Amino acid sequence: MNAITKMLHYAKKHFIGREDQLAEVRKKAEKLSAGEQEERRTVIFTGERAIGKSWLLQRLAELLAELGFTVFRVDLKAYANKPKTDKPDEEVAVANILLDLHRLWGEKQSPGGASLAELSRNVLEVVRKQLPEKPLAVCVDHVYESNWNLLAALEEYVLGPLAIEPRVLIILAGRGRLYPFKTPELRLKVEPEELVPFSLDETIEQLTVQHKAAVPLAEKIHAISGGNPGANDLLAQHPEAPALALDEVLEGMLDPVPPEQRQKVREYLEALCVLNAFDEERIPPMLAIYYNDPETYDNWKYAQARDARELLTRWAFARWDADQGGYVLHDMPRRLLEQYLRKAHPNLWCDLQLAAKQLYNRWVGMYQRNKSRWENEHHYHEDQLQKMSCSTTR
Amino acid sequence: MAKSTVPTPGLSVFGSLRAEDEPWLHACFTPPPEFEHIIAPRSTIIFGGPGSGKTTLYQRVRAHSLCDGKPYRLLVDWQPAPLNAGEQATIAWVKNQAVHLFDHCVVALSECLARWPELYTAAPAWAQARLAWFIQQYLQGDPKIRLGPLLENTQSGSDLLTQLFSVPAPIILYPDASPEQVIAELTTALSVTGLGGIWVLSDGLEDWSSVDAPSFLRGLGAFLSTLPLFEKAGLVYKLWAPLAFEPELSRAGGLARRRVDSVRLQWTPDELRRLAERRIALALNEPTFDLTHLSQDEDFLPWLEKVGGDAPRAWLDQLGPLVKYFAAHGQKSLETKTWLRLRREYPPKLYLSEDGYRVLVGGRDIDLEELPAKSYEMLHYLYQHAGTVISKADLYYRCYLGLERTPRTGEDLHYVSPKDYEGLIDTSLWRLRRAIEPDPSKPVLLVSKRGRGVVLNVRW
Amino acid sequence: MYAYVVFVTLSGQTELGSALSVITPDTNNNFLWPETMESTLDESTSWLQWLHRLGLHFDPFDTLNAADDPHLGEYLIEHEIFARLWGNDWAWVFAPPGGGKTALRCRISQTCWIGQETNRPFPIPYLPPFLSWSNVAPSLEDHFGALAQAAAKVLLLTLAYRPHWTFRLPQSALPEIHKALAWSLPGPLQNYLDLCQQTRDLEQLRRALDLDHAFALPNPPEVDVLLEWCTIWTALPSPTTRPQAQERWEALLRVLLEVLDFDGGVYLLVDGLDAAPETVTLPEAVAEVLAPILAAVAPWAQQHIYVKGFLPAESQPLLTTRYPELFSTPHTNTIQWTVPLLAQVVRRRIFVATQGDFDSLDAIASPALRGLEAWLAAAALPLPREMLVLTRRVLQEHFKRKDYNSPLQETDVQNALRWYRAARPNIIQVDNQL
Repeated sequence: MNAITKMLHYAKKHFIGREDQLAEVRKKAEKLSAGEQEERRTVIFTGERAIGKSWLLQRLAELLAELGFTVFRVDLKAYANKPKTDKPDEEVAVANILLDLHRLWGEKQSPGGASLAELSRNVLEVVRKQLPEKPLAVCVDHVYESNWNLLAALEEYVLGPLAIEPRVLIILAGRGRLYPFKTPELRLKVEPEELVPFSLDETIEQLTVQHKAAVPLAEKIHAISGGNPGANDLLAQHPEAPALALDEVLEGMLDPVPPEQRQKVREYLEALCVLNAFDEERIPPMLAIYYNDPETYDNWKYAQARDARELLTRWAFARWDADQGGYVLHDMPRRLLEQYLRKAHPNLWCDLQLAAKQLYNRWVGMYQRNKSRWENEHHYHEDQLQKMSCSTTR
Repeated sequence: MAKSTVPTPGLSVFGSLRAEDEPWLHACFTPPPEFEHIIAPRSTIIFGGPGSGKTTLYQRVRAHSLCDGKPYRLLVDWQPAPLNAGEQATIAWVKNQAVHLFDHCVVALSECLARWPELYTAAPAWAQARLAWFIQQYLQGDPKIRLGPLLENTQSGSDLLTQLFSVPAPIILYPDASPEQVIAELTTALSVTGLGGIWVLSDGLEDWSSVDAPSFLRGLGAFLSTLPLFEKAGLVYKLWAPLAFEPELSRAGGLARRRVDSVRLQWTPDELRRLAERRIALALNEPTFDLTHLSQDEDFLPWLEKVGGDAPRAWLDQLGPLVKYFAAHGQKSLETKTWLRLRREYPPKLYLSEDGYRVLVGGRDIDLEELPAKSYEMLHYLYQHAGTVISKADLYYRCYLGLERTPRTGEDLHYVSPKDYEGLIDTSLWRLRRAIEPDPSKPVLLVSKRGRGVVLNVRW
Repeated sequence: MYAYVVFVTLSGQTELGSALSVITPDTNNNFLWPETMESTLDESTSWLQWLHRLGLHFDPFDTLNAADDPHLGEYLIEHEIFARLWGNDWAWVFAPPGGGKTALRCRISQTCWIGQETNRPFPIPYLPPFLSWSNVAPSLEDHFGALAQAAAKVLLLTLAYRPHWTFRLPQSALPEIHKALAWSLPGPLQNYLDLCQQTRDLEQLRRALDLDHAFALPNPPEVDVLLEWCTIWTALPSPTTRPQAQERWEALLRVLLEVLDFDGGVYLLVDGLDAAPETVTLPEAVAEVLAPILAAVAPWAQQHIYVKGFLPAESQPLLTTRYPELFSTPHTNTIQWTVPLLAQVVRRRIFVATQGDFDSLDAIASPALRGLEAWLAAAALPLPREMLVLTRRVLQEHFKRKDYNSPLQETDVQNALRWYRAARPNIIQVDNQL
């Protein structure tokens, strides 16, 4: 059974923390309600998987409704999965979003509109008529995980026109690559915020309201999860078997990945999780060790390594990090993967660390221009090996 | 590439070495470096030295614009006019050039429509209206005089042209419309006729380098600095200019702002070798040819590179006599002594610039600034008497001392013993050879004739 | 009957595909140049395919002229300057050639078109028509004429893209708009309406009006709506007289600010001051061109007409000295391109072209190359355009090697740098900016 689906559903009584974020939005909302000007009417929440973005969005929706806003909630994931029609997916999705927006005020009659542009105009006209009475809050989830064509259409026909309206508050939440909105109100006049993991106190508070029985293990759970609320939740459900819990959490993380690709993605993640960063040059030697098949993977072509890399970035497990000079796994999955390997497959973990160390040792000699960078990586893996008392030869 | 089954140009490929005289050039064309940029749909100015292949490239660009012999863009040959005496290179002057260019566009368009009237007849009405208006509005002078032959021949296109000039076209733009607006209308209309854009080609700009280069450059520089003329997607300029124009023109606004790309025709030895081998293969009616078959002397290729420099024509000029000999003697590799003899008989062409401070030897452009004054004067003297054996005495008295006549005996004024000047002359000759000879140890240009003097072998 | 030689390559080697088998002259013994269009198309197609393999969905370094770039809005960096330009006041941006002025101007135009209503400013790109004037010392009347024409062109295109504005206007408002357009368009209004009716394609109208890509709006109307819109204007009588330039300009302003009621006012986007041979190097000439309208800048702002000037860097000292109030600090911005900023220009484009997969050339480069953008930025002239040219060259050097199984190598970069050093344009030194 999928671990993520066993995650706690949102309920107000289960929500803790994020006071700063709530306060910030409340402040803006109160200004708009009072008819005052607020220049920065778009708030963006980003963060890694299971950090609590969707929960925050739901809590904010409740809060804004309490403050007298009409609240329009959109989960872009829902619109992405509609049955195919002869129109482009994004047009259908945006049309549905507009119709849902139109229905917010109990409008039964269709707004009309042969084209998306016309539909957008008609719906926005209805919205503008309502705004003097009640401001509008638009809460959009899974923004940055969405296809860019969908986001372009969403901006053009929904968010862009709404962002101009002075009595509209927009809250976006998502994980992954930030979409380059063209509308100044969505790009320049924004309050972006990355949600951080819970502190230990917050983890304790979370367990208190969600899994009281696990409170005595709060420190241990926090050490494994790093304060990720979703991971806290799942780990708390298996206090007696941390390794099992880890495996379930990891499997749950793979939920968005199509079933036929899940195993491969998991294996790639495990093979690469020891690295601070990876790229097409580093993937084959790590896979060679992971699969114990140097003959195949040492002869991998660049294109094959690129396909492997794309699998991980497509499902938002890794992103390019210019400072690291490579792709980095997101913090939470990496932490959990390493912990899992160290507990469940310590020899493999050691072999991977050793392979990495040797790879960087070679690179120190080969790539003089960036020698110091590879030296640092070499030392890092050397330290890791020493910490776990792994053998440093193979 | 299979062997040709029909007669090929043969050894005439080493004839004039001028692209204008080589209708078979496509069969051995070798793209120069940056060729893909030269034929890209961006305005480009191609700088090249003499013999670097500018005209070949010009022909190639023209040919590139054809599909099944029919143009898919409008090609317009045009050059800006030089500034008149006292005229300034102002925006007003540039505007006149633009109007002049439009006139050429009309002529080119008329020639196209005369030959392919369907370009017009198949176009939608709005495009036809614009083309008709443009043709009527921007042809200068009387159409009957300017386009007489086109209007009078029996092609179906001539009826169309006659109609275009006789039926008043609707007004598309008012008379005060800017040239940019005119270009926009014209290119919009052309885009739906099958002529996707206008390429303005300017070759032969080096003709101005000897007439009144500074004034011409001022005008061309002003034209190239008028940015709106270079910001239209459907209008591309390709200009071929001598290398000497580069310093001045690179300061033009359009080049500095990359509205116009600048490409220097500079061949590498490998590319020149490939070019030469293709031509030789064509001459011999072979699919391929390797230059080492011509001579296996280890100095042969270095000599060719030294003499030819980076100029295709200079390479081919040196190779021509060798290939002819090779072909006439059973296509056997030339022995070293044969090669040395032929290179003496056909030394690299030498040309001394008008100001006299540069000499072109084969493909090498040699700066003579470092040469001592007397050696330099000697070169001048020998150049003026090219092909004639000049004695050391003449060199000393007439060149070195500047006398009008050479004293012959001790009784003549200024006479000195040859022992007193031969060393001096020899040193000057040595310096000259070092400067201009490809191989000073085996001179081919400044050749000593034992007991008589030296001769400067100049081939033009 | 002709056989063809396919020889167009980047490296001089023959391409795979159709090769010459027989050289055959025509009946006049002329050897004609063979067709090469396909080989060129193959080359450009394979370049794009290769970029795609690298992860780029399009070539983000191809278009050097910002006005022609359809992705410009996604690339914007220098948000602070944009934010200062975007507002109800006049503003100036000074930058050297290739320094981003036109990109900012186009970006402002594009932002004005977000949404489908008149609750944004109306942008009028104003590039002084030196060729039309035949001089670089225009009078105020000259400016009015050119401003009116610029405004009329944008207004016509916008009305065509937004026919619902026309449909909801009272009948009485239409003749005024019709007259304002007819007075100031470069050609008869009916020509443009005929063009719309016959092509049913507003892209052709945009091209005929000589407006740049910033005015290619994303949602043109349906054909029947466009035709209905054309019919409305065709039915109105054309004016028989044409007033002086100032009256024409004021007529258009009335239409924009009162009839159509643009909430954000009018943005007058002044650019292209250095487009004439006289102005390309002389700050004095630039100042002379601007002088007649500078007197109107402050009063216009009171009337919700906001001048946004995108001016050559070399003219800044002179203009600031001569017009200290107008060019005071709150109104003036200078773009200074540092190495990190230039690197960001490239990285931003890569980010957009890869749809966020990565944002650096390092991602497609060998481990020997890290911080590649900074390396290139240090080598290029400190201008975004130069940075783009150099970056593209690096990719082209890689493409030339035809080694699809390796990332960018140091040799690609060295070759590109060598080419760039020889091909650097001759740009005027401007104080500490170059």
